[in-house]
Amino acid sequence: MDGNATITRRQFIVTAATAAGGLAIGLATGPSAFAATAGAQPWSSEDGRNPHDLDAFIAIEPDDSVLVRYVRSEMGQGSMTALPMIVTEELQCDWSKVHVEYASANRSVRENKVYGDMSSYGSHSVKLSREKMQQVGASARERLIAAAGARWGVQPQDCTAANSIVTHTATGRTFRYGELAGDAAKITLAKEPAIKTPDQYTFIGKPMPRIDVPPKTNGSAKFAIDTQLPDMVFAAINACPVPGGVGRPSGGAPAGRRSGGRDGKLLARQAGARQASSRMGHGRRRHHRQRTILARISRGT
Amino acid sequence: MVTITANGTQHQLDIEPDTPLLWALRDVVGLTGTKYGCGIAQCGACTVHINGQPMRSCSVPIASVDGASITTIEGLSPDGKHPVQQAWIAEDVPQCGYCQSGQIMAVAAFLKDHPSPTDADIDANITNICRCGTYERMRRAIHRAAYLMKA
Repeated sequence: MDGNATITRRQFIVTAATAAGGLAIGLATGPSAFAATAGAQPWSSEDGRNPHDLDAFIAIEPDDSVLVRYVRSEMGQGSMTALPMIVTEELQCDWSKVHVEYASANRSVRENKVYGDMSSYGSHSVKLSREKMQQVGASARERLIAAAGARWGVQPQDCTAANSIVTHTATGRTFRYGELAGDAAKITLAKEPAIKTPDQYTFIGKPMPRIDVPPKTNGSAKFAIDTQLPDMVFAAINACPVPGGVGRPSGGAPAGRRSGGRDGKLLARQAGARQASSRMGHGRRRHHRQRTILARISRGT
Repeated sequence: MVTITANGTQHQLDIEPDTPLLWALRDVVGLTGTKYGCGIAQCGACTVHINGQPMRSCSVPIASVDGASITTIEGLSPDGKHPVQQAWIAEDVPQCGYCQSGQIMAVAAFLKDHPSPTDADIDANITNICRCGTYERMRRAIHRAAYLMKA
């Protein structure tokens, strides 16, 4: 995972699944037919981009699946379902074809803070993102309609969008979103469309199953502690369980030989986080390819 | 060298004999669905089945399970459709989700011994803790899972 920009989303999911020991992760949960999905992995690509990006928030693949990027943090409050529902309200796409993943903070930094405020606190995720998410969905919808109108040589206002299909009203001709996304990605609207007012909502407000639940029932959901990076090693600090005490080596094995560590400096046998962290820093410098050291505090012996 | 069978696959592990089973599963075998909570067998987030029995893997030295068959949340069912998992989805149980792998494993074992549990049975036997406080939804899901297992 060295940021290969050409890797596709599906390739990545397959690769990641294999790297994780052949676990069925990603979409393997078998979501119910009507529900949108969230992958087990926070991101499908290292750089937060997708070859089928319409913009930073939405990618539409040739099979009509819609990738919506979620800019807040899901902690069980449900906004990972709510914000994509708001996009769907305006985009007029098929909810069962929506797949949600986290927006990349790296991409936001690289692209002039395209995702804006990515914080989650104080019940603000929906309140502060609702208007923006509606605009994102409405803009994408109008660009898809414009792309269809251009292909048919008709005015956009003579076309309608619903259920992931653009229809030319007069003739009944249709294009699927997946057929239009490539063209739509190149279209810049002269002006942003107006967003719906609450009395016009047809999807917002419907009770829907939370999309983050299935991965949380089969062990595939990835939490921060589950992050594994290439060449990552694990270190355990064996601290003295008694306050103020000093650890001593047990079992006769010198620190450098414990636990199969590749560098004894990583394994601090002494109590005291300061000493431990300086040793781990030393280890990090010696292993250039080793990007992260996950230290965990284990119960002392 | 310790040999364990994890979700049907045999693994030979060259690790310190006092390494807790939890970390052997997570760091060495790569099964990260089982979570670390308290590290002292109190919270239940690390619950796995050892030869069919629910155990808190953070406090089980790997040397003590040489030759054992371990089932983790990833191996509870081939398709995520164990009755407990189905009930958990139907009742929208998880909030943050961190403790839920352990909850589901504890409940799956509990229902084998208590196919028709009362609320008192649940209170007495399911002692895993949940910081989000999903207990009421879990209680409903346990009853639903019991029903599904009989259906």
